[in-house]
Amino acid sequence: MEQLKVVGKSELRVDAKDKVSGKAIYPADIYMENMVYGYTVRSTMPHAEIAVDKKAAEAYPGVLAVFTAEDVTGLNHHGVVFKDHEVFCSKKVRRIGEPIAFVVAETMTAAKAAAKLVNVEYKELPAVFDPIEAMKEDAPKIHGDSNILYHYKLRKGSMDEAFSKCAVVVESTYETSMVDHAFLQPEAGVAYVEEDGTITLVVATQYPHYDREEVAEALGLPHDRIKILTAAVGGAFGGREDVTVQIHLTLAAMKLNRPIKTIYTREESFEAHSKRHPMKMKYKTGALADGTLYAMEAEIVGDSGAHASWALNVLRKAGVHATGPYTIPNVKVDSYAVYTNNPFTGAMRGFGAGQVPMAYEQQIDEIAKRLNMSPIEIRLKNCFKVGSETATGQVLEESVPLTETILKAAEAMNFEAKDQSSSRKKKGKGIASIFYGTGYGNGFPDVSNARAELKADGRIYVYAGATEVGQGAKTALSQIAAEAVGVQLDAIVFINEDTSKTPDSGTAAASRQTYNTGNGIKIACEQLRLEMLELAKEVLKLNTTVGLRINNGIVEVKSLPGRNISLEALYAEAAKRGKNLKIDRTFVAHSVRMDDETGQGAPYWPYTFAAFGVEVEVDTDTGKVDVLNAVCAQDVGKAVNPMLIEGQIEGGFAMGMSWTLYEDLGLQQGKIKNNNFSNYIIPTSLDMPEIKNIIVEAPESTAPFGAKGIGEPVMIPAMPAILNAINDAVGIRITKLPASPQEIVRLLKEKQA
Amino acid sequence: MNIKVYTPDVLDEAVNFLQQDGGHIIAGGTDLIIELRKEKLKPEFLVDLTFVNELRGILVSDETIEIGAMTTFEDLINSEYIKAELPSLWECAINMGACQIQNRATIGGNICNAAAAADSIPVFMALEAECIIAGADGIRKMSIDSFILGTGKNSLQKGELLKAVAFKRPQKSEINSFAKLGKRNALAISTIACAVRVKVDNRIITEAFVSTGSLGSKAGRELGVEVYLMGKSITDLNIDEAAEVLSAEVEERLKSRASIAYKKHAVKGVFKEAIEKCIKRANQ
Repeated sequence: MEQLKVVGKSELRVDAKDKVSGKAIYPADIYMENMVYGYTVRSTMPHAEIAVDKKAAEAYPGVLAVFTAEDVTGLNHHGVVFKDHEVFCSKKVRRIGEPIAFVVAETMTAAKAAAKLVNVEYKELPAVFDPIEAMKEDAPKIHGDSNILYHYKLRKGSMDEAFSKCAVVVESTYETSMVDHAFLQPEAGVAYVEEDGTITLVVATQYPHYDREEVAEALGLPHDRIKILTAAVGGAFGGREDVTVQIHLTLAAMKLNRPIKTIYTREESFEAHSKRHPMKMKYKTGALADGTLYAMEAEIVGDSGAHASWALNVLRKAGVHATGPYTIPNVKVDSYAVYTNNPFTGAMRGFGAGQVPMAYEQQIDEIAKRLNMSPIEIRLKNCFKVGSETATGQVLEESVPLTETILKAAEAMNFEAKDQSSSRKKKGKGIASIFYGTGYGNGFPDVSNARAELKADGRIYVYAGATEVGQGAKTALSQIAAEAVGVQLDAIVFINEDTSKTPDSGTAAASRQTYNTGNGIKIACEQLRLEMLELAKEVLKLNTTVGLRINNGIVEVKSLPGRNISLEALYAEAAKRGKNLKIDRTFVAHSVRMDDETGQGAPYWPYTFAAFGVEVEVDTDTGKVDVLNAVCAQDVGKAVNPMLIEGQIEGGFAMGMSWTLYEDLGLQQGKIKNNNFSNYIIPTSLDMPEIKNIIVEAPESTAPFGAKGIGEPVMIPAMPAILNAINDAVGIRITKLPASPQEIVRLLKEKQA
Repeated sequence: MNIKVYTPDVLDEAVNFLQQDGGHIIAGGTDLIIELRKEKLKPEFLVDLTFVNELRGILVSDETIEIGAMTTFEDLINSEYIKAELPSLWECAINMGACQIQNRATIGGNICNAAAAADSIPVFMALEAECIIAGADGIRKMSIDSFILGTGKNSLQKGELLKAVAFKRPQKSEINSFAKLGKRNALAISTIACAVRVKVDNRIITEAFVSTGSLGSKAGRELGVEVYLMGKSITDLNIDEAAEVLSAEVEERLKSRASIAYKKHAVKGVFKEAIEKCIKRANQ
C-alpha cells in the first residue's frame, strides 16, 4: 500500500491565520450601508398566557417595525424534530426568554429603548420545573396532554433473579446539571435582500441547509429564495443547532428591504439557545464475585425544558450508552424526555452519552472497591473488545481499542502509586472509560453530499455544506480530499460557507463530519482522480492509467516524467472536449433502527472509545478541587491531523472539567441567575492541569482512511474520571453536579457524622 | 452612553470638579464601566483621575508607606519593595482578577467601591491603614475600618476623593501574608479572603492582626483569633485550634446567613493557608 502523504500530518489549520490575526469575519463584524438593527423582546414569565400591544413601541422615534406572531408570513414555528418553537409567541409563553417581538430601528439604542415599550400582558399559568413532577398526570401541561415526549426501552437478557446472583450490587441516584455551551461568540447575524430578490442571511450556524428549510417554512418562501452564508463560527458545541436569530432577521430584511443586523448580549445568549439536558438517573449495577458485570437497571429522566429540540435523540443516546462500554448480559433501561417550564435543552457535546457515565463509571468503581479489585482490572475484564455485543445486540466487529486506551492511560498515570500531600489537602487518582456512537443513528438517513471539481487554475475545489465550527473540519476534510486526489494540501480549495454553492452535508454535530462527510469527499475525490487520469491517458496517448501519478500539479508517467500534463492544461483539455471534471457523491452511514419494545438494533456506527486518568487534590477545609494531572488516551481510528486532535482533547477535557467542578446556571423557577461569565464560572488557563495526550489508532474499515470522529468522545471521560479521583482522595461519592466546594464540604461533613 | 468627562491633571482641579452636582469619579473603571453600561449609575459627568500624577505611586519613607489611590494593582506587582516586604499586599494584587484588570484597576477604586469581596481591603485592615481624604477644605484622615461603612458604602462626603492609603512601615519583626479562596484560579471574585500580620519577638507572637473579606457586608478584623494568637509561639502553633476559634467567631457573626454552613468550614482552610505562609516566612 502506498504511504499516506497528507492524512496523518499535523498541518496548520487552514483557517488559523485569519482567526489569529483578526481577519476572519464573524457575523458581528459585518456592517452594510443603510443597515438597521433588531432587538428581541423575550418572555419574563415561565408559563403564561400573553396579550401583546406594540403600538407605543411602533411610535418610538427611529423604529421601522415591530414584528410579532401576526407578521410571520409562513408557519409561525420551527424546531429540529418537532415544530414546537414559535417564531414569536402567539398566545402563550412556555419559558423565560421565549421571543415575543422583534423591534427594528435605525439604531440599536432606539431598538432597545422601544423594546421596553412593547407591552406584554401576562396571565400567569401554573408552571412545573422538576421533570419528575412534570411526569405526573396532574402536572401543568406544557404542550398537548402529556409532558412525557419520549420513552426509550432497552431490554436484554432477563432481570428475574439477575441481581440475586450478584455478589455485589451498587445502587444510587445521580443528577447531572443543566449547563450552557459557553461558546465565545454570542449569536449575531445580518440579513439583506439581493438585487435578484434572494434573501441572504449571514449567520454562525452548525447546519446552514437545515436553517434554510426552517426559514423557508416560517416565511412561506421557496428554498431557492434564501441563501445562508456561514460566517466564522466562534464555537458551537451543539448550541447553534436550533434557530435563534435566523428567522427574525430574514423576515425583517424581506419586509423592510434593508440590511438588518442583530447581536445578542451574553445575558441574552444564555436565554436564547439550548442547554445540556440535566438527567436524573436511578442506577443499579451488579457483578459476580469475580468482578464480571452481570446486571444493570437504569431509569433516566431528562429535562427537555419548554421545547423538544433534540430530546428524543439525546435520551435515546443516553439509553443506548447507559451500560457504558461494558458487556452486561442482563440489562433493563428506561429513558424519558420530559417537558418542563425550564430553559429548553438540546444538543450539547456528548448528547446524552455524556451524562450517563456519571452513574456507570462511579458504579463500576464502587463495585471494584467492594470486591477489592483495582479500577483498572475491573474495566479490562468487562470492557468491549472486538466481537463484543452491546446491550442493543450490536456486534462490534472491528476498531475497538478500548483495552489499549485503558492500559495506556493507567500506565501514563502511574495509577497504583499513591502520593499523599498534607493532612488537609488530599490527593487521589481516578480513571474512566467510555464509548460514543457516531451519527444521527437509529436508522435515520445520515447523508453527506460532496462535490469535487478540477478548475481552470489546476486546483481541486471541494464543495460540502460541512460547517467549520472550530473543530477543524475545513482542514481535516481538505487533508482527506488531498490524499484521495493525490495532490498537496494547498491544491485543495474547500468551500463550505454558502448554501447556494454547496451540497447538503448534514449537520456539524454528532461527531459525524470526519466520518460521514469525510467519506463523501473521499469517494468524490477518488472518482475525480480516476477521471482526471483517464483524460490524461488520452491526452498523453498512453495505453493505461497504470503508472500515472500526480506530482506537484502535474500528471506524469512515473517511469518517464517527461511525458506529462499540468492540471491547468488537463482542465483546458477537458473543456475542449466539452467534458466537466466535476463529481458529486453521496455517503450514507449505516445504522439499523432499534425495536420499539426492546431497543434491540444497531443504532450507531462507528463507536469511538476513550479512557482518561486524572489526579486531583481536594482541600478538605474549603472543598476546592484542583485537577493536577490528566492523561487522555483517545481512540481516533486513524489520526487525520494529530495536532488538531490534541487541541480537541484539551478543549474537551476543559469543557468536561468545567461541567464537573464549576458550571452552575443558578436556575430558579425557570430563571437563569448566572447569565454572564463573572458568575457563570468556566475555567481559565490557570485552572487547567498538565494534559498528556495519547492518540490510539485502530483504523475503521468503513471510515475515510480509517478516521473516526472525536469531537464529543474527547470530553466525556473527564467528568467521571474526576469524580472517581475525588472518591479516591476523600472517600465521598458525588451524586449531584457540580462537585462544587459547597457540595464537597457538605458530603465530607456527612461522612464524618 | 454619552457622558462628559473631565480630565484634571492636578489634585485641586479634581477636587474642584467634584464640587459640582451629579459627578462621579472614574479611576480604573473596571467596576464603573459595567455599572454605566447597565445604566445602574447615570452620572451627568465623570472626573477621570488618570492624569493626576500625585495620586499614583508608592512612597516608602522611614516610618510610613503611602500608596496613592490611583496606583494600579500592576504597579504593586511591579514594586520590588512590596514584593519583598509586604507579601500580603503583593499576593493580593497578583491574585486579583487577571492581567487586564490588574493593569487598569486601582487601589483607590477597590477601596472606595467597598465591595464585600474587595481584595485589598482586608490587607489594609490588617496593616491598620489610614485613608487620606482630599476635599475642598483640605485633607482629613480616618482608619480604613471607619472609612468602609458597608457593601458599596464609604465615608467620602460630596466633593471629596480618596487621595491615598498610608500605614506604618513594617518592622523587621513583622510577618504578613494573604490567602484567597475563589471559584477558580484567576478572574475570580473572592469567596473568602484572609490577611494575617503578626509581630514576633523571639518566636513569640506579640501582636496579631487578622482580617477577612467576603464574610459579611464589609471586611473586618477577627479579634477572637487575634487574641488567641497572642503569646503563642509562631513555630509551635496549633493552627487547627486557631482556625476553630476563627470559625466559631465567623459562625456567631453570620449565623443567620444561608452561606454560613459552608463558609464557617471554608474559612478555616483560607486562614490556615495564610498562617502557614507566615510560619514558613518566620522559619526563613
